[in-house]
Amino acid sequence: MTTDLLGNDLNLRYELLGPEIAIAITAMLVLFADAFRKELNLGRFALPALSVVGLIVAIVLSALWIDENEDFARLVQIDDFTTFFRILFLSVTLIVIVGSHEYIERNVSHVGEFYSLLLFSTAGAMLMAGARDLLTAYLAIEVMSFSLYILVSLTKNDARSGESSLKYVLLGGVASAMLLYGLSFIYGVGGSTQYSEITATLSGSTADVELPLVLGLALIIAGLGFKASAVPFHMWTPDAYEGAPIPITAYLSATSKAATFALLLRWFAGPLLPVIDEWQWMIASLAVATMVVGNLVALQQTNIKRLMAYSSIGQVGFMLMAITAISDTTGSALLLHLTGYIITNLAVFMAVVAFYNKTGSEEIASLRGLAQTNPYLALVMTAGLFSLAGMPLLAGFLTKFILFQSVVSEGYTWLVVIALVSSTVSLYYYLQVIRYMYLYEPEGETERWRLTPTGYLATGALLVGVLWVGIYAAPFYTVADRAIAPLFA
Amino acid sequence: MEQVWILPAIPFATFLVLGLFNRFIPRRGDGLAVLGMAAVVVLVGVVLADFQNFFVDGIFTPGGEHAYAEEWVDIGQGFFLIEFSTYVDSVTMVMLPVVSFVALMVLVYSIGYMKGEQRYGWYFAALSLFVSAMLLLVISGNLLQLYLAWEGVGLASYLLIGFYWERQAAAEAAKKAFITTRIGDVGLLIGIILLWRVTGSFDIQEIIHAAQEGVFDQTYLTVAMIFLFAGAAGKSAQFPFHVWLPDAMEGPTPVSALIHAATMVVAGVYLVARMLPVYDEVLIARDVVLYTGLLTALMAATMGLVATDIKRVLAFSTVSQLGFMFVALGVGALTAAMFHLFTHAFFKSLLFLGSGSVIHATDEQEVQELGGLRKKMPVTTITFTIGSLALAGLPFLAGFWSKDEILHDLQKHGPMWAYVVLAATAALTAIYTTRVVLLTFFGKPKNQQAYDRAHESPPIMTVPLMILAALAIVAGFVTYTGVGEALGFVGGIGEVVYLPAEGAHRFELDWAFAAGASATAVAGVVIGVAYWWGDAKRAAAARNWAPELHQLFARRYYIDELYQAVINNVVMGASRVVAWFDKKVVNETGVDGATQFIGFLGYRLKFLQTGRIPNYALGMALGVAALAVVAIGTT
Amino acid sequence: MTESDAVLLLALFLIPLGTAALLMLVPSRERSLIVGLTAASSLAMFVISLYVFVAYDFNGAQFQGVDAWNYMHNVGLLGEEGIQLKVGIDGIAAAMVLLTGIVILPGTWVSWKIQNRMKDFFILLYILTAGVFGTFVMLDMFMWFLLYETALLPMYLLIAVWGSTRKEYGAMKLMMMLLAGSILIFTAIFALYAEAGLGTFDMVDLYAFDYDEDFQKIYFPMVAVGCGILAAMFPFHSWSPDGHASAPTAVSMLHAGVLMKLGAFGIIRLGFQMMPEGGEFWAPALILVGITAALYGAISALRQDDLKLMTGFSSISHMGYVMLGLGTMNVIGWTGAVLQMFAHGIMTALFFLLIGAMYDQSHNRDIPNFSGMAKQMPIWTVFFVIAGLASLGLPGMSGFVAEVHIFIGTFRAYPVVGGLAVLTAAITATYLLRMFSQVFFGEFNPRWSELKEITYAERAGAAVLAGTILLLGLWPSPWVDRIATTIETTIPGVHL
Repeated sequence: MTTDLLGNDLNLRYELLGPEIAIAITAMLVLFADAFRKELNLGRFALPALSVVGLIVAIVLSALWIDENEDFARLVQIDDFTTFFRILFLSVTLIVIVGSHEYIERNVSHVGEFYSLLLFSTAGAMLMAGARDLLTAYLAIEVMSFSLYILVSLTKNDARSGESSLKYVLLGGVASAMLLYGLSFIYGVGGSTQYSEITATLSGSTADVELPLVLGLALIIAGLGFKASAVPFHMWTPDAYEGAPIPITAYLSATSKAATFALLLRWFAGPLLPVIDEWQWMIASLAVATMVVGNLVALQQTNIKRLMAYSSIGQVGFMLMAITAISDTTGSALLLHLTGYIITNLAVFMAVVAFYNKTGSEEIASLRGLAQTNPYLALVMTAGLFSLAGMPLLAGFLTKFILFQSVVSEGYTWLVVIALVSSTVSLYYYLQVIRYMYLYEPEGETERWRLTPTGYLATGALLVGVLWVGIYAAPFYTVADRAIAPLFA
Repeated sequence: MEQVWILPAIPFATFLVLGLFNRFIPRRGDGLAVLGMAAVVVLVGVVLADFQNFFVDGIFTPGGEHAYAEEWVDIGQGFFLIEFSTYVDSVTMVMLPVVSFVALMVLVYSIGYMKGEQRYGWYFAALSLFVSAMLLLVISGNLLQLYLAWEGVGLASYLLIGFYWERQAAAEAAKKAFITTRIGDVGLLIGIILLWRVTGSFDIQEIIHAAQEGVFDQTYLTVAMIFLFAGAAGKSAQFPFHVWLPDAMEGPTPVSALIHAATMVVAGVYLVARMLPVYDEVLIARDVVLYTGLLTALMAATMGLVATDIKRVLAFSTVSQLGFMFVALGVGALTAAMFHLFTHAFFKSLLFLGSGSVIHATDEQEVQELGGLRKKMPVTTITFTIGSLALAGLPFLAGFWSKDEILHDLQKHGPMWAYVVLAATAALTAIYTTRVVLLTFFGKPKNQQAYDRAHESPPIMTVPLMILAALAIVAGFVTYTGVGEALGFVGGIGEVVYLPAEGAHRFELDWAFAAGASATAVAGVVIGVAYWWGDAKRAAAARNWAPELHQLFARRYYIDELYQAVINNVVMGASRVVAWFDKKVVNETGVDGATQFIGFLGYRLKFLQTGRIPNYALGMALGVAALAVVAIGTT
Repeated sequence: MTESDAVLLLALFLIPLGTAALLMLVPSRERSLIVGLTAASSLAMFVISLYVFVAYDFNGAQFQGVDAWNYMHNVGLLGEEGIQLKVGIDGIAAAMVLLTGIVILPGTWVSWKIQNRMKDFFILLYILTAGVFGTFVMLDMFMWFLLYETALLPMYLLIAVWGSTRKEYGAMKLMMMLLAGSILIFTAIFALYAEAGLGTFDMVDLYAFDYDEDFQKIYFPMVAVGCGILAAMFPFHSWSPDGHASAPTAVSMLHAGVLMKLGAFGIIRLGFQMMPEGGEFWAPALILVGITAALYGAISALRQDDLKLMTGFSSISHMGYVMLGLGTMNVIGWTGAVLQMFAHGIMTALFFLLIGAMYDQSHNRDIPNFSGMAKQMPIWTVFFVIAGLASLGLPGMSGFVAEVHIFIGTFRAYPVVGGLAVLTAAITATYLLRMFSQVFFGEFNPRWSELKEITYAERAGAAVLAGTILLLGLWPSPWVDRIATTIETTIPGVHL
């Protein structure tokens, strides 16, 4: 049994980190395989296949820890919460790769790096969910983010890509600085980087450390707000979304958001819960600003990726409400909503990918008459958009309902009213997209076209997911409930 | 008598059969309609015989016969109860023969008159519908059922006035008739509901008892009964609702004879007669009836004096005669009113059918275009003249007796001046009837083509004329006690119809009074002859002597113009305003405005997205500051 | 009705949903197959709803055919009963179910002549139907609202794709306004659940819970307005004329015929039954809104030249009667309100069916452009006249039965308003007869000499609806018994 400098016993069961390790190894292998492509004369499916295998292995490994609750070297906590997010993130990456490997093949420079970085950032995301120590969390964030900075820039022959990644890097730097600075405040106040010990300290009186505490919180919220693209830290989002390769846009809107919320939950339901009075209103105001601005500006977009960028900003606003009204019920509701949101969002993006593969366009106007040229794809996209708008029988309605209900039950009716209004506004711009697909005759060639098998696989799976969550969400909700439990144990 | 519901059921069945399948039935089923009607007449006879049982050794026992059938709506175990109930008493007993018999005559007559019409079958179907609704109306035991039948006859009248719907005028007339009466019906329904509100019942007899026991607050009851009268006035074309009846002449003439002379238009009289015991409780309301009737009688008579369309003259005279009946009711003289209703039904339908015969023969209804027809159409001429004289109230014809009764009662119970006015009106009646007869049948033909076209109508039409003519002569005095008994009919109409309050009413002719009345009538006829005999020089002279007056009568006191103006300016104006409000304020400002505003917000906010890194960084910095402020502000 | 009938209630909205799913698998060129499928399922719905209506025993329990299946429970904020698939009907719902069952039949028949993407049309139409049926039979607040929204969801596409005239504007306006209403309903539902704190959305349990009076006063109007928007309640009605004007026939029929009633139904279910004190407190407001709408709609209808716009405004006027009836807070008025929901549903469906049947040929709906149509299309005219007479409340027709109850109920509570209400009936007569004499009568306009008489499908549909109008008009007791008893015994605060 090893101990650290302070003499605490360290539990070093490396299998606890099995998924992360598996992913890291896969990433390496991908790089290697890419390097020796010619020599090994690998087909174009080799890299995605390899990554998929790795991901599946990792999923299995994570599944081993269901209902376990152990910490690794007091740095990472392996509990249902972690497991939940591990599996979530791994599946996201899996679907993204399955759904868009043709796209990647064609529109991405440095395919090998692309896959490996994607895997690395997934690993980072998983650690964000698992971390039980401020520094570990910070490192995890950076692992995820740095990979993303590069991924965003990998769109082949598209000027916007480089520019947007530059913005992303620079502003991301600023954000990280803020976050780190904030963390140092918290460390100063809490006297430790360990969540558990910070909790202990902050549970006592914090009257004499009010200012640094508040500043620290403000900076942390700003830093994470950037990652989650909450207003006013969201401005990189539309540009990055627009510039990045579509799979990465999907990934940004799914994993990096979810990971951030995992972290938010870990922190604000854990060490920072005792000082809720200090941060509650910050998050609340952030939530309001985010949902209002996000949904209003979305009204004006003509590019599907920018539109989705703003819509995802709006969605973040809804999720932030849950943090404001944090409790075990809101927590589980948030996880449920996160799941539904990710499935839906991916559905839309995978549809966009498939559409882009065919037409090479991502302008909303180019969706004209899709209902006739490819009814299936139109259906998927419509289901996705309606679900995002919170229409019934689709994931969005149920998860939003549960989320809002739980927030109201915590006594934040006014927040929910704002949320409802802005989500109604959101329907307007989703309908604009749907309009193009159903109301207008297709331009140019009008004969039907089909997706690639993997395209069907990914979109089909996601469509089923959207309907499943929408029509019978009980299993998802139960899982979410179990996942949130450790935080409030 | 419990089975009295069969009476309306028969024609209703006819209506259904003819309405749906008339094209599959020989002769479009006119025979069926007539047979049905004949059956009804027979059954009415049966009911009448049955009714005799109410006479206990010659004295009529008060009250009527109730019969209940299916309960229709029941909320709260009888708290709100609508049922199908029939009630037969003396008032009903007057209506039933009139309605069924005149209907039969008209149906027979129509076979000839409507010959070769397209929609021939539909005509008989609609007529049957009318009859069944009318019969249901007169046997209704409760007000809501009465209202149902009431609207039913209105519908039938709408359909029949609009029978020649290709003619825009007919369509408009139908619309006018329906809407005008409908406005009256609003009053009727309100009245019914007001009565229910206090008594909790729609049953007429229960309401009457409640009223007599003084359950009602006086003013409340007055208001309710006036509302009720509005309905009656609407149907019976009393001022201010009288405008629809002249236009209703657009319908086929037999229809005018049945609906707009003999039966439907007297529904109002019937209603007031039915509720008269209640009116007796609130004399103000009764006076309203009286003076409305009086005014209408006079106005309509003056209008009839100058009208040139033979049917319109008759229409005005109908309005005027209905006025007489209301006057009688207004002084509480139920008997007289029903008596006049009875006689009027016969001679007025006779007159209409006669005019129909003329129109049928000449395709001309302007009296200015007619004349000298007596040579060509002897039967029509004679019968029509008889009818006219009866209407004029010449002694010993039907009209004389009943009108005499009314004047007599008015003089007894009413103010003197009212009596004078009505007497004058009676004289006017005599004048204009004489005028029509002279202009139509005597003198020289004014329009040769029309005259050449003219020919006597076929027997199928003339026979009903003769029968009705006979009735127009006898209908008056058969009802006299002696005659009645002589005919084996226990007591005359006076025995049958009376207020349960007063004892059986026996007509004794007050000779002096009658002499006066007949003098006026004769005078009227003389004047008529004096003015319109030959080339009607004096008439022209009279017209030029007071052109304004003539104009006033001819333009019907400008009342139609007034209504039209009100509708165009007030009603349509209001709707114009509302429509504008809806378009501009509610929709464009309220709804579209809101959405545009939201869109505009989004448009403005878009410009925060400059795409330049320093601005973004600045935004973040400001954000942190804002957060800190919020935090410090809230803790 | 026994508990086993719960399966039928469930079937009521699973059948259309299943049909929609099946249709997705049918290739769209198989028109005959689609027709057969829809014919079968619409007939099934009709039969079941008829059975349900007949089988409802108005002397029995308040809710009948009640049964619940667990959906989500003991998780997150949900307690033991949590969200259930709980079905059951009372007399009001029974009438509404029958209404839907009747309207969907002709609604399906007349849609068979749609050429453009008929399959997609039916998929959306049946999803809508499923939502409507579901809302009427659900006793779980969550499920109720889920299906309520489901009924709204397809409207946009149905109107925007298959509609006419300013269809996109109409569709978007309708959608946004209805969802704005949903915001209020959402909020109220959340608040109701949170306030009760029972951890269940079971309406029956929540009815038992006694909400604080101030709470009721705040949240009742939210429900009333939220649902009221769908019921075209003044002044939130402006989606309705445009929406109806632009919607395709079957959609207008279902929307004006049934969906609008959903709003009023919501006011009863979520409003009065949940928050009786709030309801009593705000009843006068309903009276005010109701009579305003009645007059307002009727007066605006006087000026409309587009047949559908006229019908739209007349719907506003007639739905005003419903609000009026609910405002009276006495059984007669309430019975009238529910009867009016039914009567107006059938009548408006008939109106839109006929207008659509003619518009499909003439592509013209402007009243002044027509005259003497009775010559060209006699059958069409007859049905139209029947619908019109029902609409102006002629005795013997459904409209009168409903209106007389409302009038009397109103007179009991507010005589003056009652008088105004009766007057409105006269205005209604005015604009309808004006339309009659213009469109049907007078010199025939040869411009339309190529118009054909309505098809047999349309005749059959019209016959069904007209038959119902007369049946209810002449023999109302089956309806009145069920509705009145339910109201008398189960609606708190509503007395004789």
